[in-house]
Amino acid sequence: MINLKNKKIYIFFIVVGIIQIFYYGVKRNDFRIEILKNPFQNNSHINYSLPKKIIESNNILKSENIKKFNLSKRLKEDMFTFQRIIEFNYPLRFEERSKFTLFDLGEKNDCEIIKSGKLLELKKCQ
Amino acid sequence: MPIDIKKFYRNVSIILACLIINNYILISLSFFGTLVKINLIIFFLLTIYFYIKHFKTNLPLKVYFLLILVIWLGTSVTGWDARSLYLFHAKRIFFDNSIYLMVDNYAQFSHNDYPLLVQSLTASFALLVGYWHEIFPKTAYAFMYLPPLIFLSTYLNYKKYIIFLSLIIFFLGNHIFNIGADGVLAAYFITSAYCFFIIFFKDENERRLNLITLLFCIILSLIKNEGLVLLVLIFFSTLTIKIFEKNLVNTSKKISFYLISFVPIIAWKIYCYSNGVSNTDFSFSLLNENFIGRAIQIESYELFLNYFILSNEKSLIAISVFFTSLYLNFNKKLFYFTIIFSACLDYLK
Repeated sequence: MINLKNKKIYIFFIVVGIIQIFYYGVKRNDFRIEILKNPFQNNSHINYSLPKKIIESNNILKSENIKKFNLSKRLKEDMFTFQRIIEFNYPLRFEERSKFTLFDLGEKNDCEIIKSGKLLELKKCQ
Repeated sequence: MPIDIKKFYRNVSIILACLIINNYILISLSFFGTLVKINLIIFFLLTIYFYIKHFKTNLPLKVYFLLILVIWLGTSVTGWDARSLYLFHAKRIFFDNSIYLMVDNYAQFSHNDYPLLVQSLTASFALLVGYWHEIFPKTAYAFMYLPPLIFLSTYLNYKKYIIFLSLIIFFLGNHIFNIGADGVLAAYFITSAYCFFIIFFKDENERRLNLITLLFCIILSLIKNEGLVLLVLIFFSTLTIKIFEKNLVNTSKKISFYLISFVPIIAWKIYCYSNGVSNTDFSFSLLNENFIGRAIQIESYELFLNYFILSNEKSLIAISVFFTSLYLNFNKKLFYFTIIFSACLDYLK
């Protein structure tokens, strides 16, 4: 059995542990009650994890039923955007040979516009 | 803790570890479906059973784990490691229904040669729900902490265990809540190293202990590439001390049993290399440079000390804890084991 002295140490360290968990988990992480209310939501509250541009890339590709896509040179050179678009859009796959290319809005080229969003546009390039 | 409760917790720990490995085996054998779901349901039921049976014992761990789980369920997934590597691998396993398509080397930035044990468990969590999302599946990383922490609770008394848990939370800090696998790796590493210590230097020879050590070693090597290096170092440290003790012959039979733990990771690495997928961060010239180059440069020692003592306050506290416990309960073998291990690790860094 735990004696009184040990009990005090026991309670002290339990409290220390709980404070630490709250400090690291809530204060130093992006903890949000909105996410906790429904952690099984299909889009997984993705707006807290990714920039609008990445989410829009997925909306555009899905709405046009594109399975393989390419990215403009500017998007490929921006390593963060490049990696996030690739991982977030999977199982839609990035493929350099694809005619369907995502561009930053306003990038100039001779490709045919398929769909425009607020930040990106999908074009068909020959 | 009474012996029957100790036995119960060790059994729970063994079964949970088995189910984690079993999940990986099932997906490796292309059974990404009903069998994986059943395996996972047993995993959850056993976790609930662990909570209900002997409710009042191991209460700190139960409270901490519940809190950690709640926080995991309320945080989004950010960070490079989490998105580009671990969660992306899990997503690929979920959509491809296999771990083997990783060798198509799609998205090379995601290190396709990485072992996929935790990612497989994450994918299975999504499979159980029925669709891909990010919040619930990532809690697989929180569940990974259970087997080693339950196991260690059977070796420490209440007071030591609660202090140990507090220290674990302090040293892991943010890593507990990140999908970087570093926290999980640390938990499995200390447990595996501890098991090696009690088996080879305290000569405990219990069947359950041997089995759980083997399971922890397998898991350690399959968490990430660094896990394999840590496992090699545990073996190396043990063997070095046994050579100095001139006790290698008696140890060799025992240690050869644990060599089995290398089989899954070696099989995975052979599969990756034979398909042209290799580690982009590793080369033999770099190893040579790190090993020999750094050993003869005095600046490297200075750099190391600067980093270890001045830039990382937690390691300073860890050293203080280590030397205090060493002073209170000096154990020559444990001391040598730690020193050899740390020295090897520093050079590899």
